Amino acid sequence: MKKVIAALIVLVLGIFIFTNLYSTGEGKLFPKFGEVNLTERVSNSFVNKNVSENSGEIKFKKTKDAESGSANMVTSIVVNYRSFDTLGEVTVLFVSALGIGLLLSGNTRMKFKTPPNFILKTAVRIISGIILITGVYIFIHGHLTPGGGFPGGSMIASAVLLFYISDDEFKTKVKSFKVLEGTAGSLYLIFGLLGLSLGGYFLYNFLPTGTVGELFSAGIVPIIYIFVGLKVGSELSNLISDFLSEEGK
Amino acid sequence: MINPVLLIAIPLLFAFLSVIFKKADKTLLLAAVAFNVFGALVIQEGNIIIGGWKPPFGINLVVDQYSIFGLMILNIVFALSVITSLASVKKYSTVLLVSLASLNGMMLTGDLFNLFVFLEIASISAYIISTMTKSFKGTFNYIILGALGSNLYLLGIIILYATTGTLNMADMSSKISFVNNNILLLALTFIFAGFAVEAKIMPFNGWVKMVYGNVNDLNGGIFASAYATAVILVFGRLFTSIFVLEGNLKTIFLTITVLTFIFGEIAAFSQKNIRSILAFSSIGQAGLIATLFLTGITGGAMMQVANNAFAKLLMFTIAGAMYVYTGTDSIEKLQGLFKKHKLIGFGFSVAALSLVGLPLFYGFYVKIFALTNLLKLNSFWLPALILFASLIEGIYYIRMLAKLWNPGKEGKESKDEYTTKLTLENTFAYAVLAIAVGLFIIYISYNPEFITQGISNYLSNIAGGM
Repeated sequence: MKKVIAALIVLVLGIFIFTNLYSTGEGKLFPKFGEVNLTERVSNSFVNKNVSENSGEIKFKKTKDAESGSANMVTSIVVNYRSFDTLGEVTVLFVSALGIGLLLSGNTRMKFKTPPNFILKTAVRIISGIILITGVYIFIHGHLTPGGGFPGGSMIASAVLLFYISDDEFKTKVKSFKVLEGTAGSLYLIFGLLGLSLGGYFLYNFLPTGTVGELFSAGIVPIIYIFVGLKVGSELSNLISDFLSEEGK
Repeated sequence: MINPVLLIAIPLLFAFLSVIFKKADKTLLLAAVAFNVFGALVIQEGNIIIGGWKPPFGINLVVDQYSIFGLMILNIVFALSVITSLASVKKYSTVLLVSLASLNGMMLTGDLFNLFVFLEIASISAYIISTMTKSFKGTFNYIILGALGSNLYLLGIIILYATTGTLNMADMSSKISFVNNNILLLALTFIFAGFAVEAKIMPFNGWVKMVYGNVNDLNGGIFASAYATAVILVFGRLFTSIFVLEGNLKTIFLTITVLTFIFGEIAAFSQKNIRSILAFSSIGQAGLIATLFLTGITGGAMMQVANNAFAKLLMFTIAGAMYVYTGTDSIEKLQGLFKKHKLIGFGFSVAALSLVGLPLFYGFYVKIFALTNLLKLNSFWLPALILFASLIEGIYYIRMLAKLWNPGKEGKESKDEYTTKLTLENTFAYAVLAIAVGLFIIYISYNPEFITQGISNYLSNIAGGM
């Protein structure tokens, strides 16, 4: 009976959403897929990098001192135009990892039922270095290529996860990861506060933005993305080690 | 002058630092709390831009009298709660720092998505803080409902963003009138439902009894006063300045909030434990304040927020402390407690009577203000229902106080079995808190302008407010 009622409620909610979302009539309607009028949107200025009305064509490897110098426009939005939100998202991950640490952390390492075999151990030793380097590459080049701090950090944590799977005895140094996590987070905020004291705005991009497409461009964006990458990597690694630990026996 | 963004940045910075310097975490917590109280008292009105991008494009912080009012209450109750119950902080100082930062962020932000981010941080820290008393079932319910609520809110702003193309609150309020009615109905329903979880409004408040009913001296004050203040004030900002409700939608939402008030009070009436009574009373108060906001009596709602924040801070802290030291919070077992601990009893009684709205107390002034304004709007149902629910509230609070002061028939001083566990040493901090907050409530009862001044400033320049 409960399930029938639940199904009915979901059905009613579905009809409610569908009829209202695709209704026709006066006023602004929910735009159909692919038929958005970009010019009346706030995000249009982010894409053209002309929030401060310095419009002009942006050319890869040629334009100098663009408003937000990163070639990847998603990065421009995430770490420059809406950097405050990213600071919040980093904190979301930070506090979730902290909560899991408070509730689940134990002292001894959990053992698997079947011990990892030789092939897995050797393969992980070969692969994990490559994964780590790729992760670091992704967050260093976050302002140039698709990717950035969050995917790069997750990749680093996936290398740690492989170590955990392949070795029964392996245990990360949780404390040093905590120090790394805290330092990266503090540095993000300290850079924000530096912007406040140097430029007058919190999280202000106070470094020159350089030429679009160069590695050293976009001011503080790549620096912040490196902090985000390190922070996400160390947080997720701590998460893995919390999940794979047990209370002392 | 302090830049308002520091109210968010400093607690967050200290939270990150407290992970590195584990030993100094309590010092960092106290430093951040002190800084925030100081900051909330000195910040000035303005529109703070973040990252150097002007408002509709970047994120901005809105500092008007409304948010300053909220920040003052929020930071003061948070500080009082932490300082009084410092012994209960234990490993939770980092989480408390993050939640302080996020509550300040919620009060200040002028961007709908940024509000979602802070709402998310605040609710995740609330889940963690609610595990302090190891009642994991309540926390689990809270997580499920909270996640659903955040998602509904996000869905609501996604629909509005897709339709209007902006996330800035001021920009949104100017564009919202062009949006099609059906889409507005859908989006506002989602936003209302999403906020209803955190604001404890009716169909979504199933978590409250188990979480609020299992608090200790620290997280009780933080949930019932700091969180309640921030969430309900943001609710007020959304539904009075940005989305102005009209017609059927307003009727539906008003019905929900009034029913929340009445059912909250009726449910509280039938409870036996102090913390459960206070939990349902919090639901009722949230319903009352939301009703006042929706009917447009912003001033009355803000006064009731202040009244509720201080009264609930004191009552929840004391009830939590009773539970921590005696192991029970059943009224029957604790009969006659206040006869032994008169100072605590004094504060608790003042808070309860003010919340009920008995004459001579601040709550009376607030209720008269709200009711006369409601009658001016030519609505008679609402004042009648509010008076009816207030009557129930009065009965159960006075019944509770009578039992706690009066030891019973045998003429004993108190039931020693439980009350002797509350010794003078471990109740000292609570007694100081009780005296301070109790005297403050009495002070504002005779000088209501002390709080009203800021509110009337806000209401007089609301036109250019956002």
